Amino acid sequence: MSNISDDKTKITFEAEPPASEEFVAQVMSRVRQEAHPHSAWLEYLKPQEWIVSSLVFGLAVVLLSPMLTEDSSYSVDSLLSSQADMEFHSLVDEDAALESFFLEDSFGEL
Amino acid sequence: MGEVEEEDEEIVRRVLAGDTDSFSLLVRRYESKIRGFCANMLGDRELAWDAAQEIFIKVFKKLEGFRAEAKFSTWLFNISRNHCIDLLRKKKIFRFISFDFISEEGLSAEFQSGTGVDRQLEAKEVSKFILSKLSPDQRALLLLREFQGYSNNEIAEIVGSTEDSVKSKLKRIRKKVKELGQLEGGKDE
Repeated sequence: MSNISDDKTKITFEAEPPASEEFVAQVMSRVRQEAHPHSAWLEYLKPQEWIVSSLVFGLAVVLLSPMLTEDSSYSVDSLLSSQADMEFHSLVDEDAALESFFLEDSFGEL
Repeated sequence: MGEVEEEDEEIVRRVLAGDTDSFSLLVRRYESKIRGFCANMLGDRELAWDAAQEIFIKVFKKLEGFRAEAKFSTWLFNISRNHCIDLLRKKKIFRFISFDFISEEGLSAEFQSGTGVDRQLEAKEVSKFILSKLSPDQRALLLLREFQGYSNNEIAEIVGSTEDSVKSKLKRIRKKVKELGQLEGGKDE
């Protein structure tokens, strides 16, 4: 506590608090978040956790890659050919419908 | 031992160059001063802790706007003063331990007869009372002059005013403090 005299009036100020490492740590934690807002969570991972995470990710890629390769067979070509098939089938159906109509019609006339 | 302390402005340059961790040097260097300043401005140590944290975060965010021709400490106290004044204006905070012993006529007889510890508490309480009666601007000026020990010229730089203006304001503040101090004036003699 420091006393400042001004003639007869004394003002006793609240003394400067002792240095606090906790305070510094809290400020710096927030400062690092401000500096790297998107990668702040990375600081929470320990080195061994990093290794495990990387292994899991790698394994997932290896396991999923055949499925991804199969999926890639559904390319633009295959889409186009399947569309062409559909169009062909619809034309055939249309022809068949017309044929049956005429047949019915002609039978009707008979 | 014998190590030359690195200049604040040099640390600022390093932080701006990407060395974020160097900012901790500035926090360590000034945290006690800023927490002390905030405690006297706000009248509460816990509020002062939070306010001081916000101030350092603000300083970090605004670091690019720091002009090298100004002293870092001057700039830091400018931000601290403005932050505390904002808090006081918005939330109207200033906490007291207890002022039951102060009436319009002065200190209660019970309190005046106190000894040792009571006297210390009394001085602290009366000082808090006096500070609470000053406007946030006046309180900041008095603290910068009497508590932080800045010169009128440095205060003028911190508050963005002239030395003459600071001088006359401090004169008015001291007069007000003396009037408020009449409460305790008689009993010391």
